[in-house]
Amino acid sequence: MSATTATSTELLNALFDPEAGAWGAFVGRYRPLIESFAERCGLSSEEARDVAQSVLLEFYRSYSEGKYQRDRGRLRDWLFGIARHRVGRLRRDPERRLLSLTEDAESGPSDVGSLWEAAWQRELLLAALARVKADVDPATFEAFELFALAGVPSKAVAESLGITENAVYGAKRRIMTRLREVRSELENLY
Amino acid sequence: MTPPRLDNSPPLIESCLDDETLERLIAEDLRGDASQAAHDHLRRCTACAARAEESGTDERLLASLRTELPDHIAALRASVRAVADGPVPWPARWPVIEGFRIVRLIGEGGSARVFEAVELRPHRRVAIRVLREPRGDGPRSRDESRFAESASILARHRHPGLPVVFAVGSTRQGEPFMAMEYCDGEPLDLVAPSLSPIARLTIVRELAAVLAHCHSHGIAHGDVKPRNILIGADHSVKLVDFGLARSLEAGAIDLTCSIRGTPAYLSPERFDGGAVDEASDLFALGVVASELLVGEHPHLEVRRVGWAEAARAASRPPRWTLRERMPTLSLAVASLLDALLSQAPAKRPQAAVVAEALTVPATAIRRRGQGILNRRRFVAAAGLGLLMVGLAVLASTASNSRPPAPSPAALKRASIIALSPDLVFDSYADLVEAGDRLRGESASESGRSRTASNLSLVEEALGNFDAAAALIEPEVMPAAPRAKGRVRRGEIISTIRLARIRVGQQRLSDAASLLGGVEAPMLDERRARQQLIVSEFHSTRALLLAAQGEVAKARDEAATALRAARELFSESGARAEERPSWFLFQRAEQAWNAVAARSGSAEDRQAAVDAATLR
Repeated sequence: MSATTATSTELLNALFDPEAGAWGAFVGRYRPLIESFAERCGLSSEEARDVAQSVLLEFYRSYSEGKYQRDRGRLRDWLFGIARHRVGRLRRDPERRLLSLTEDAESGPSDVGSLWEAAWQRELLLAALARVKADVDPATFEAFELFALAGVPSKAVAESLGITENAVYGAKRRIMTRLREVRSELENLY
Repeated sequence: MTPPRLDNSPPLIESCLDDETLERLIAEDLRGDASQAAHDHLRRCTACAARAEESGTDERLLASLRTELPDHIAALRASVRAVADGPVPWPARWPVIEGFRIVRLIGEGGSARVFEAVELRPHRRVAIRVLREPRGDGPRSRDESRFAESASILARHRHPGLPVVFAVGSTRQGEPFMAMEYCDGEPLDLVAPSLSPIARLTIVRELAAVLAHCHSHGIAHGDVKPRNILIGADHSVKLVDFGLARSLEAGAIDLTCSIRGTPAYLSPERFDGGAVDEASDLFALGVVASELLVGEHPHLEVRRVGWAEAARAASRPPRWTLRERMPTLSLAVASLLDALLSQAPAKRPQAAVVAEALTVPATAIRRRGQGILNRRRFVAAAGLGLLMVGLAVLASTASNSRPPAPSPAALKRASIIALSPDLVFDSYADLVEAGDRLRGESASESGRSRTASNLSLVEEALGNFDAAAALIEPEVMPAAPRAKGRVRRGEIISTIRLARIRVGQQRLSDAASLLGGVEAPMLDERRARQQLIVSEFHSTRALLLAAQGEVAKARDEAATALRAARELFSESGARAEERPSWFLFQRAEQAWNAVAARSGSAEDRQAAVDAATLR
């Protein structure tokens, strides 16, 4: 089961089937999201990894106990609930002296919510980029990266890849369009 | 009235392209004359060119990509900058190769240029060797066939010391190219000054092993020289540039008769027109080894010489031998390496024999006044020395892959390794102090017999440290001031402090990367090495504590040492013949004996017996 094409319903339905590999796909999809969120909350990358690990395990437990019902909210909202709780608990840990950065994030849920949303948008974008990259011709993708992202002049890109300048423009156009499409597909899928 | 068209070229478009035409042009949806005319207009009209450039830009999407991928974009830009800084104007004279993007020029030789490049699928870093444009008809075909031969040689014979060939073909300009594994190393001549004697011997061994592999498969390299030997951060060796290599299979006779290669590394028979063969590689190996170990060329005072002078020098015996110039090298190894420079090709030892003789490079070095150190001490010394080297090696393995969260055991392991340098240095100072005190005690009649055995234990532990120090910072410790077979204590301490500063600087970052990724499946050998260091360290510590009368602490240390030795024993079970644990059990036995001597407890004595049994 692929981490980039299955809907979250499909993933959840297959979660206990070891043959389907859904757990791996599930982790592949949501671990980066939780880690990115935890880091945005001011945790170190090691702590973020720990948080992600425990959130996923807790989800697994509550899902297997039937606590999570699909019709009671989106999967990512449920995960957000667990993640927020975990991060908050870690922050309150008296053993842990966290630097000032996070102290003011002790604020209301809306702020933490926007951090989650930002992490979510990032993961969508990266997943879309990975999908598009796998779909298009490598030279086209390279042209897009060099021209649109790195800002290399189109003439230089064209010459180094042995394609025309128009092809460079075309690459940018096609890939950006495709990125937008794939991103909104994924938004509905996840 | 429109002027009559003189040829059948498409009409020029004088007004700007409308949006639809522009979009269709970019989407490559226009055909024939319409496409040609639109292209022509775009070339001349800056306004339309700007529109084309902007076409399809979604600034918000771009901005978020740039925010989310800063590292990736920085890397892309850096690769472009590296290109722009290169000696060759980019990209005019650079080859265009389908499926690859050239990043920079790495090196330029007589017949070929080597580029760093990115293969687009799979996405990986490669080195591309491109044969130069031909100058005439004759040499081209010969160069090309050599080039093809070297590619097929490399493609057929895999070895960790040889680069892997990924692809062979022609550039868009028609030059033959070969895409290979990118070897992240520096040429030997550049890194040599910073290498320890053990590292140098290890490199000689690795190089000999690669040549042995080539020779056993009927290939001679033909141009073995420091520039063609790339040394990785972990002192791994890659032999590159097979441009002069030839297959030694029957019938594959080199008919070119021209002498090619690098004068300073050519064997005498090659100057007489002899072909590239195993013996000429062995001679070059001898020159490289002598040069590496001593720091001077065995035949030449200056390396850059003409053919005539090099030929004269190669036909005479070398200016010195390793036996004379490197008294610290064991006689057997020195004689073997010296024999590589024999005038008679048949007298040069096989590469496999050289590699074999250097299996454990540390045993090839002996210490002044002591002959060759016994095996046990060397393992101990190597263990401690490796502690330092191990850090860097471990860190580099750990960073290769990013696994999920590390297990507690892995974290503990990492922290032991990260902390140990300090502990080792501290215990050295303790040892020195304990030795002094015991010597003072033994001066009095009463304590003599008892302290004598403790003193010998401390002396032995100090000996291990001496050897370790010699491995850690050989260049800080010149041979001359060594007093009567023992390195002076003050020097050792300052040496260790120096080493400690260096190690300390690296330690934090190493520990960080270890903690981040230590779960990566570690090579058995590395794991074994780690275990060896840990066990050896605790044994030494136990001996020291026992000598100081700290029985309880000594007991803990001895137990830890024995446990580590057992772990190593069970882990290395698969390769019984290489089991390094016998020595650790012996050390643990000593430690327990020392503890038992102090405590008089039967249990402690039993532990010593257990350790002896395991051995």
